[in-house]
Amino acid sequence: MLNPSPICRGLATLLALVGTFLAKDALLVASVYCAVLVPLLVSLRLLRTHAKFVLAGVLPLAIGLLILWGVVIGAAPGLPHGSAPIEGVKHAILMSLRLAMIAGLFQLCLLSLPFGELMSVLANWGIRGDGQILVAGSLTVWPELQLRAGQIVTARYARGLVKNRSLLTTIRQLPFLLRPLLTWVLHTGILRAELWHQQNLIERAREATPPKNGTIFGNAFFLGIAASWMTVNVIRFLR
Amino acid sequence: MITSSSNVDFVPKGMALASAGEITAVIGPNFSGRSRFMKSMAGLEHHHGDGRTIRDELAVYIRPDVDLSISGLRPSVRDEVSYHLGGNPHRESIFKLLRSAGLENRLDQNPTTLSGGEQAALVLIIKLALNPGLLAVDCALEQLHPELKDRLLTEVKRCDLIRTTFLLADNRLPESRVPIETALELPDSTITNPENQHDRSPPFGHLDSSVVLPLRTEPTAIELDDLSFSYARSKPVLKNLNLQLTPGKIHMIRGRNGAGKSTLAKLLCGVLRCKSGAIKSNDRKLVPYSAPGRLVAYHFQFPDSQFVARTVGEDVASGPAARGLLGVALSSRVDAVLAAFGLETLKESEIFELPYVIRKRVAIAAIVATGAKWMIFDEPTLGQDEGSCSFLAAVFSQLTSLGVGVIVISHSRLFADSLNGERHYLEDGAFKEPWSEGRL
Repeated sequence: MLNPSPICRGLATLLALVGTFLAKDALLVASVYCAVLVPLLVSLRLLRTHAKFVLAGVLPLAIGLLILWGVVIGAAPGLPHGSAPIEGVKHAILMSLRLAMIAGLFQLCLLSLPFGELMSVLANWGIRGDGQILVAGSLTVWPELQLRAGQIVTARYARGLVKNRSLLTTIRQLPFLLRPLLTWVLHTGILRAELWHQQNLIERAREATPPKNGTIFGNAFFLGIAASWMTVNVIRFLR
Repeated sequence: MITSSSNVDFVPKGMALASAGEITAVIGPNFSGRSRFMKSMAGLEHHHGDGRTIRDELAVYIRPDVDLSISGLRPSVRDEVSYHLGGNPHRESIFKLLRSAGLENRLDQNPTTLSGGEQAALVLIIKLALNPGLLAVDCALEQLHPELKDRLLTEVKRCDLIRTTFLLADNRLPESRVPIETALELPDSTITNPENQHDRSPPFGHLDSSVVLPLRTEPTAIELDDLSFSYARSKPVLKNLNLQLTPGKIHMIRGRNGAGKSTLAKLLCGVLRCKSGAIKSNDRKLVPYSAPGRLVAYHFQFPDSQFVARTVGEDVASGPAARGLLGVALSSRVDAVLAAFGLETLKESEIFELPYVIRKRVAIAAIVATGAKWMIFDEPTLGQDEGSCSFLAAVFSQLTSLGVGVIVISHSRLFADSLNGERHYLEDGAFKEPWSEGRL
């Protein structure tokens, strides 16, 4: 019922992204994030994926930004160093909220669709051939990394290369993980891209899940919210 | 009827392959050029890289490391099948094949969590869903239980909607009843590329006593005491297993695909944690999970899952190094093992640039080099020809003569027959006695 057409999906995401980039009020971003984005992510069963991304990607960055702007620089951009640590902290919070919001918007736009339908949407946006393979590749990088990281750790255990399972020993495995992980992901990335290309898998996935046209209500809902969000932020930005 | 002259210039012209729906067995030892021939027929070498070489139809090559033939696009067997089917109208036939392979209950599972044999069956079926003109299967079906392989290929041929010509390389064909129409024997080394150093078979060396580390302490017996295991949110894989594993012997474990053989191996080496029952030695409870791989080292079915280093030498050295071997002792040990496995010239080679057959050999050598008291070899003969199998049988025999306990998991009856040891048959998560050909 809330499914927008490919064009509306793209346009709504674009408007919402512009709005987020222009947003200057952390409280407003946080409110929209909690009141609009999170319920949408919940309804599309994407909250878990989003939460993982926020915890693993955005949170460490946020801590870094807080230290940088709140302690090291001690001021918001444009102010003398050390003159307003609170403003620096506010700026770091705004940046972090924007990052979480942008990540959520991309996840909402791209991950809420079955793979074949996503490829149809991309084709509708004019992204075809190698562009689609690039997007498909980027979607498979993380699962591939997880799989291979698990395999390398398991292999190290199975061959007796890890003395025990203490936390310290586990952390010590990290340097051993990186090189084979990188080699493997590059190796499989190339092989899989060749496989998709040779066996025309992206095209077949599109055939398996024909695109949906979207509903008027869905189009209006998403475009309305995104346009409102952008308008509010443009006005506040220009003030 | 397809003839080789139409697209592969290095195979004698006019060499006839089977017609649509028929199977041509491609026979030859390792490095006779089998893989290269099959890749060429599938358009992956020399000619057009787009894989459309046979009657202008899609030609597909299935690698021995079948996990790399899975698309990786979405995490479920159902999606994998559906993305290969596309608009193919033969959906019902494909799902019938899935049922024959026993995969109908695995549709919501991530393909990477299937057992090796199940992955091989899945890959065969999804590639058939592409409706190719030619399907070249390179040793991938060796991972199937012979009974399942026979049944699946017979079903495939019965299915009149599928009009694919099959090229099948399989070292275990002599022990199966797969209906073959044509046999294409490649004379030794006619198709190898002299410029490629990895295109020649490195000869095996000698097995002297320095290859196998003598055990530092007394051999350890292992006893399975009412051992059960199940993965999260799924039915039990192993049910109340009781078994005495004596050191200094070869223990062969066979069973259908998905019977729990690899799971048992992972419990023994400590990759997985025992949930019910115990692993004991002389009535003392062992906890392999807390010191994994120390008592029992495990060679994986897919060799690529096992490598932890970039080069052959580094990978083989990692096991003995972790057990305290250093300096000259370590390097001489690595050199001895590499020489025995015919790998000394490849010591500095990048593992992933080597052919599958050699990668498998490196993976086995790395386990032998550890000098663990117990070693598990999961499908050690995958992709290996008769000569390699004989060598491996000799290695295992030598390991046991020095007190090492060897567990071999394999679907190959001929290889099992060549080993002198105890045999265990795993069915539905429990050991069935006795091992009998009738059962298999």
